[in-house]
Amino acid sequence: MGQRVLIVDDHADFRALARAVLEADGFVVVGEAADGAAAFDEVRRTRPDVVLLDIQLPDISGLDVADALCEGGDGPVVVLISSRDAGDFGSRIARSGARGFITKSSLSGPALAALVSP
Amino acid sequence: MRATRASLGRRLDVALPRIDPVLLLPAAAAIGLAAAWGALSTGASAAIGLAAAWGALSTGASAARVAIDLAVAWSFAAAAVLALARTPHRRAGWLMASVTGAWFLDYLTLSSSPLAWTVGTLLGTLFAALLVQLLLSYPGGRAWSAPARLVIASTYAATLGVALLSSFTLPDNRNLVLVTPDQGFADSVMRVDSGIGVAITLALLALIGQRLLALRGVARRAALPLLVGGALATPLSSVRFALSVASGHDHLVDRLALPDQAVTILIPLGFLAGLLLTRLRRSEVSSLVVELRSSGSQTLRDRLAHALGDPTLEVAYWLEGQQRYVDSQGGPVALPESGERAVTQVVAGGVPVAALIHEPALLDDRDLVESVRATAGLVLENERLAAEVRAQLSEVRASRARIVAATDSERRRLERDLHDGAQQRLVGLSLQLRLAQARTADPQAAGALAQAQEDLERVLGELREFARGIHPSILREDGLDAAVETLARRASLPVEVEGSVGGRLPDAVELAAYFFVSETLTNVAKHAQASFATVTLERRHGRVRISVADDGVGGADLSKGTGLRGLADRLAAIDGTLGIEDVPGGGTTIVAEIPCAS
Repeated sequence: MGQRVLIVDDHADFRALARAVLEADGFVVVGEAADGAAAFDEVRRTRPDVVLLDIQLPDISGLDVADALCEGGDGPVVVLISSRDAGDFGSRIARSGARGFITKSSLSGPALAALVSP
Repeated sequence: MRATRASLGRRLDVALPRIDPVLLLPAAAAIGLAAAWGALSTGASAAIGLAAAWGALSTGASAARVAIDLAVAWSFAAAAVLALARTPHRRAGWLMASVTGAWFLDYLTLSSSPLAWTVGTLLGTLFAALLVQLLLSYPGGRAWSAPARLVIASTYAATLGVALLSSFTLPDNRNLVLVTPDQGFADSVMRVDSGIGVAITLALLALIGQRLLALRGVARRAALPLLVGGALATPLSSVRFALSVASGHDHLVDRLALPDQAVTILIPLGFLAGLLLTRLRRSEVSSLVVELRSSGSQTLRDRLAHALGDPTLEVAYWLEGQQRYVDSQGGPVALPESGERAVTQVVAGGVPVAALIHEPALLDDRDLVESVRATAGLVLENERLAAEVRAQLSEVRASRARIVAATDSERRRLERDLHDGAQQRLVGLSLQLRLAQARTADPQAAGALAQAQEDLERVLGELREFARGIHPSILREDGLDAAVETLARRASLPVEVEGSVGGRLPDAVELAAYFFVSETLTNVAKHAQASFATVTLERRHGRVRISVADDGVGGADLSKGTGLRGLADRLAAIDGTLGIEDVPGGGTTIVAEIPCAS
């Protein structure tokens, strides 16, 4: 069975496309959230293996959500996404608790798998 | 200051055992009038003085004493006339006129008329209280402070009360208020009176000293001569009172009586000296015309302040077009509403030119301010034009800064629109292509889709670059240090970043600094043939200093091309500067400095 993924992004269109792309590549999308607060609720409810997390959320920064989710060490693997590229965030991605970063346009099953596989 | 009745009345009595009442009548009547009219007409007071003197002399009083009394009283009369003609000194004028009138009241004790004798005995020292009031309320006419008020009231109470009390027992056949003749009691009362006199004169000296130390500027200049006169005249009275307490009524006390009276003249002379100094001040104003023409290093304000003797003077220039006042640098000035500062308008040809903001005490001498107004009008008009230009300049600078700020926020909006609109749609398109690729079984179609996705990825990259050039998101999110790090990483030659500005700066400063580094690194890469560059960030004393040094061929020139010129303009809009240090053979260092009050 594929890895269980939660998609957090405020654009519904993107969530639907990301879900389709990942499911085509064998991932199981267990939930979607449109902002930081909903993301915490969904993580508690669905217990995903991976959280695909947009950096620019309407309520709080995705980087802060990543830090909170990774606190304690037994949470899901967090992968940050953005339509900007990694350079636009300086060293903040590296300093966050996230496992890695994928530019939205490059999102694919293999790209995600490469980051989350141990 | 003339003081003790103890000596005066008695000495006259001894010298003049019996006086013809008829002879003294005109003088007595005149003196009675003086008490009532002295304050109203100083001219009359002077005449009364003459009459009193004539009366006294004809009874054999000391010619020296009469001469001194006349000199003192007439000095007061002259001072009073001049003071009454000047609004700010009117109260002092009334007091000085009253002193003139009261000065001769004790001459009534020379009279054989019981009524005159009694009035003279009761009111003979009233002048002393009037003098104390004059000194402690000069120049405003109101007692300076609560202690001053107390001393004035005590002096009135002591002079009138003691006179009444001693008169009850003073053995004299003209005494209308005699209750029980008791020379011993009267002497004791006089001695107590002398004690009070010591206390009052010392308090008076202390208050004058304190006042002279406290006064500043124009107010001090106005009050100084009269108060110094008072301060010089008082100690002799203190000495006489003290001697009188120590040894009763003795020879020395009498010997000092005349000098004591004579020094009182220092008070009206002080007043006259003050007026004279003001005159001199005016002649200084007329020399201002010459001085203003041979304009030296001093500013107009300094020269006016010197001429008026008011170091706190401010000059505000009227901008007719904008209906407001500015200082000589064009900065806005609000005229004080009232109270602490006074305002004199300068008008030339019916048009307001400037306003002088000064100490209210200067208004005491309207003529002085008037002459400055007349003299400096033309120069003020020139200065006003200069101030107007400066005001326009600062207005232009402010509007330039506003334009840059508006451009900055427009850039930010554009970048956000790009990110939220086109970029998001292209991202969606890219994912759709990927999805279609996964779903097609046709290898040719899959190849075409892969190619399309690759092209789209390149377009997205260019779009991101474009958006970054409009307004870098990392600058907004993370500040200058992080943004410069990113610029250094992206540059097409090795770039080292040294130092940091530590923390956030105002938006306009961050953006100008960012574009400075970005543009300069692009120039270095394009033109300098450099092998590496160093960006140095520094922030101290409220300024940010950013330098970009390279090891290239040099030759950067502000006057050539628009790149550096544009950067310099952008920096100037936020009061920053751009400098180029060309080290021959050693590359170029370009430095931006921006003030950041944070």
